[in-house]
Amino acid sequence: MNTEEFGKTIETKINEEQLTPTPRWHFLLKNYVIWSFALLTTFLGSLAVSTIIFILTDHDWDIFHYLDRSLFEHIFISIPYVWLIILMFLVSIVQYNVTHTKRGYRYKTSLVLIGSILFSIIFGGTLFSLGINSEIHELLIEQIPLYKSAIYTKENIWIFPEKGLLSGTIIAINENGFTLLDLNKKIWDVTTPDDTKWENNVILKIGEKIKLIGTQNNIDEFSTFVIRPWNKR
Amino acid sequence: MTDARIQSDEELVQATLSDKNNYRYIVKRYHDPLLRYVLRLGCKNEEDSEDILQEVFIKTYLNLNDFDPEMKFSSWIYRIAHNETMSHFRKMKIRPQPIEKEEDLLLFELIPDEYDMEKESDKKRITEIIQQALKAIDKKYRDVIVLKYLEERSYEEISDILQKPTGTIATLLNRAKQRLQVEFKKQNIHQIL
Repeated sequence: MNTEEFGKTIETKINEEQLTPTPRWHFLLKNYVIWSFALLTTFLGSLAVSTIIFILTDHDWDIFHYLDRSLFEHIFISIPYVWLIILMFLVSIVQYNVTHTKRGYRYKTSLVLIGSILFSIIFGGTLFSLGINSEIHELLIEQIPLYKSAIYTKENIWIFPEKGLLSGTIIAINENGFTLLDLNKKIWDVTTPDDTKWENNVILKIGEKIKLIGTQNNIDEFSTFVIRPWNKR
Repeated sequence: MTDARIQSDEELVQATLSDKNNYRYIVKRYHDPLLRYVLRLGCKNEEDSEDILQEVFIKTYLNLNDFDPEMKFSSWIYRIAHNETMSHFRKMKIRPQPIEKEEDLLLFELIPDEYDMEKESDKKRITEIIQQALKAIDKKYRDVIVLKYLEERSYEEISDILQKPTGTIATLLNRAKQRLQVEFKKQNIHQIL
């Protein structure tokens, strides 16, 4: 078929099938949807980073010897793998989206990945400084049992009175100390000797959630030498 | 209708969007180059190539509003032709065939290496060797070789056609040349040259 004949075939097909170019708004909308999805995923990635920073900064790195483990083991166990996997997943979605935008293919994959991670870190850091992360993390711990079991947090650490680690909410205050309702809903009589270290301006008041380092004296008695607020910030 | 000779591709696109009859000038301008390109990509069958081209021109027409004037129209239509040809190979479950036209193969003298095709007396033998070498290298390397040395496209144009960053195109091209040289050596081309 020569060019003339071929041209006529195309013309006939366009006329017979009444073909018309797809409207411009259709392509614009598609591009905006892809970019919006990329931005939304980047925002979710930032939330993941923010939560990772929260978990890492809120973690008690100095108590590993109470748990009969080395610092290395403690670090290895405490890394929030779930959030790191979520972050990697979100970053790869961003990368996929960006490369599927109109001119996205011009950017190197590594550049998009690094850019996306950097943006998530910067924006995630900002969210962390605004304190948004702690609510998300605590809400997930309360509402999703699977999340609680997948993340190694302070809830998994401060529940070993026999090892000297206890936590809970103050429900009464007395002369020698206070009464504590621990995370397993057990009531403890806590004594606070004079040399007890009160860290991070922790306040002794009913309803305050705290962490204690000390010694278990009896089945429901605990003598403390360090008191920390439940949240570091 | 307008005089296609005095119009750029981009102007013809605009003219077609106003009057579909102007599309014939785009078809006329690109039929031969695209047919040659589809054949160079490894579609041996002339009939299949015409079918692919029909699809290419219909898709181009339907997507005219998606054309980005920041890139060359030729890069855009070549991209559609490339994707359509690859999709044809996948659909038909066939492998691209090696380039066979001697004039195409002789263009390989453009590849800067220690070999000089001019010195060679038996060009038929060289042609066979190049065919074998092209058959042996990966499709992704053949694609860039075809675009760079046969279609004489710039790195930026190849980037727009294959939808890969220019850096990746440069890397692919370097590797393609290395692979070709390895294949040449395997076939004792240095004894002939």
